[in-house]
Amino acid sequence: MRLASRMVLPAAVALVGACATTTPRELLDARTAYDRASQGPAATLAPAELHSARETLTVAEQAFADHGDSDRTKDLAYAAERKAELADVRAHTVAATQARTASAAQLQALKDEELRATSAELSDANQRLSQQGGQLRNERQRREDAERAAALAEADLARIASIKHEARGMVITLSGGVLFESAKSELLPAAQAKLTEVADALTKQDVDSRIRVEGYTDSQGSLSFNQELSQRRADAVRAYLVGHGIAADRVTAVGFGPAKAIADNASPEGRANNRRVEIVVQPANRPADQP
Amino acid sequence: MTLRPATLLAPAVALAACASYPVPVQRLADAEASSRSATEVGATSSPQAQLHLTMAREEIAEAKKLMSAGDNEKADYVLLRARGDADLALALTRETEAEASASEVAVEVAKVQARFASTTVTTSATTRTTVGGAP
Repeated sequence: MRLASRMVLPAAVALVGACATTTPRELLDARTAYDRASQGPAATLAPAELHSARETLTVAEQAFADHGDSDRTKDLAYAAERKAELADVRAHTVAATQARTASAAQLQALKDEELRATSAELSDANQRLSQQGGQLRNERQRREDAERAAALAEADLARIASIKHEARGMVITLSGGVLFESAKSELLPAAQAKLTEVADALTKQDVDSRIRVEGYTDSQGSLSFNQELSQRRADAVRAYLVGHGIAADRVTAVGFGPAKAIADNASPEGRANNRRVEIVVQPANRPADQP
Repeated sequence: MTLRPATLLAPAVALAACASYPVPVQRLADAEASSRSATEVGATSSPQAQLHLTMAREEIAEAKKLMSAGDNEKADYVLLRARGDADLALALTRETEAEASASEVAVEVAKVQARFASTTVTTSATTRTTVGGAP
């Protein structure tokens, strides 16, 4: 009994002493730091560091239990606090690294998308340029063909009629004496042969060009008769051309009577020159009725 | 004067206790290595990292003094503090670097997104003009 009393008393004193010992600030800070870290991202992003902090804190708690508010307890608690902070910092580092990786992937995807868009635009532009180039080549070829055909047709016409190039277009002048009998508007057989050649030549010309048949007389006789005669003759020539392959909507006919004389009506030669039919071939881009 | 045996025994016991605790050579090497690493990665450029690095250096110096005085045990625990501060300084520096790098890439993403949105709007406007033609 005496022995038991002797053993229990120091233990009780030690227990009371331990309970009386104030928990050091370092240990309190370590507990707080560990709680904060374990409730934050460190639990998932830095578990190894958090575990190490837990172990050191446990050692510090044991030191406190064994040695109370000793330097050893404080040092161990200090180390535990630093480890808890380290776990928290490491977790934020991992989170930042993950964010950077995600951003880098997003950046690459955006750049890839941008590159695809640029490539597509470039491809479209190239395709458009290629198409335009093809159209230009076709247009140039068509123009060259038309010019070549026109030159050939003009050479043919030059053999059978007088050809002039004026502001209103190419003017083919046929003598009235060759085409019609005096005061009549029926085409002579020789005129028909000549007009057939004219029609053939005109069909080789630019199909978009417009053709205006203009009838003229000399000044002998009444003005109204000459006006009417010149119109009938222009109509006759127009009808012949249309009948020989020239599209009707390309050809118009107008009689001017004795107007626009090209020679002196006082002499027989002058009057013969004034009796004429002019076929004016106007390029497609000119107004149809421009004289 | 005759010394009592207990008087002779006390210093001997104290010396024996000091001598029995091993010199914390490894702990010192670890703390110094961590401190050097923190210095090399640029801990001095971050105020908080700089603070912990300074504390680690002071603690290492204190530990060395304690070891010279033969107090290996106390030196060992001080080096535990030093290692904690040095490691934290290093981690703080790397955290700062990682966050700066993440922020840099995020800014770049925002720039490309803005440029891409601008290009898309321009392309749409051009397409509308082409389709709609002149008024």
